[in-house]
Amino acid sequence: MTPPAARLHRLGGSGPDLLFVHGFGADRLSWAANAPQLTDAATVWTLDLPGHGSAPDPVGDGSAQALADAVARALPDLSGPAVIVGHSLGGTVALHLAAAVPQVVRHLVLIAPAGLGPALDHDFLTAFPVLETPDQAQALLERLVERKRLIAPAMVAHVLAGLQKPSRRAALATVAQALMTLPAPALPDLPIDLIWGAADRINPPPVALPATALVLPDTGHMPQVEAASKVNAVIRAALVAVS
Amino acid sequence: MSTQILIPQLGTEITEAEITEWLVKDGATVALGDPILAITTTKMAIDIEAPASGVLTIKMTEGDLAPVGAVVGEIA
Repeated sequence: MTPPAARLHRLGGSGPDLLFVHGFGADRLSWAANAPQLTDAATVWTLDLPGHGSAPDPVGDGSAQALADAVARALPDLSGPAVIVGHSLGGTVALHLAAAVPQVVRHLVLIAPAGLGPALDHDFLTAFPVLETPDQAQALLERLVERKRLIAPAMVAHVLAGLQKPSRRAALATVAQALMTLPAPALPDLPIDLIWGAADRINPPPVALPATALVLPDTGHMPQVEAASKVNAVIRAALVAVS
Repeated sequence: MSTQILIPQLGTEITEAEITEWLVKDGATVALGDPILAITTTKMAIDIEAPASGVLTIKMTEGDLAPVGAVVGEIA
């Protein structure tokens, strides 16, 4: 069986390595409001997880561990220090990645991380890989955000185009299945910034969040898009802390 | 002193964006951080926030295609 492979993109910049890990069904472009803004403060990397974006479709058992292993294989030898930002599924992948390359990762920024909330929206996870029409996709994707206009026709078309790859739907269904049985991940002994949208319907925030968590009002499951400048400020502070 | 509102860097793969909708009117007073402009790239929609507080002057209108770095408005 072909091992899962992630595709890494170096956006440029200099300074600490900053790696962005996207969520389920998304790709590296989901960081368009964040990653390009931070090249003045970091060496910025985005990636496509196995079965997502431009990466090949094999996902192994679809677990966060398998996806993190694929990212670890794709990473060049980072000298550190590094900050990893992970959203949703990517948050859990980031936790596994921090364990895989502990010598360089100094700080995590986790946005609505999967496994740390009380319940993921299983209906969303089940429906996404079998989306067929723009109307279906529009309705499902609107669950991600509070401001519906952020789900533009261009995004709907991009999502549906991705699903046309030959094995993409099966790959995403495998990842979705693994997410639905995801055990709560262990937290490493690292500084972690938690960011959560108060109105997140896909992965609602836990009732008891640490006092240091940034809970954003009127924000759904996509704080990096819905409240980009606030998220970017947290990332900037993390970069200063590790420099 | 005025502050320019620019189409931000959106990554190496996105070079322009469409002005989808101004969320406030020309001449309105805005506060730093307010969402003022919705733009759409070939892949996704993004809200641009006010880079300063002050009075908004709109320079590009809805439907225009603006390259990354273009000045789409000003706050004075």
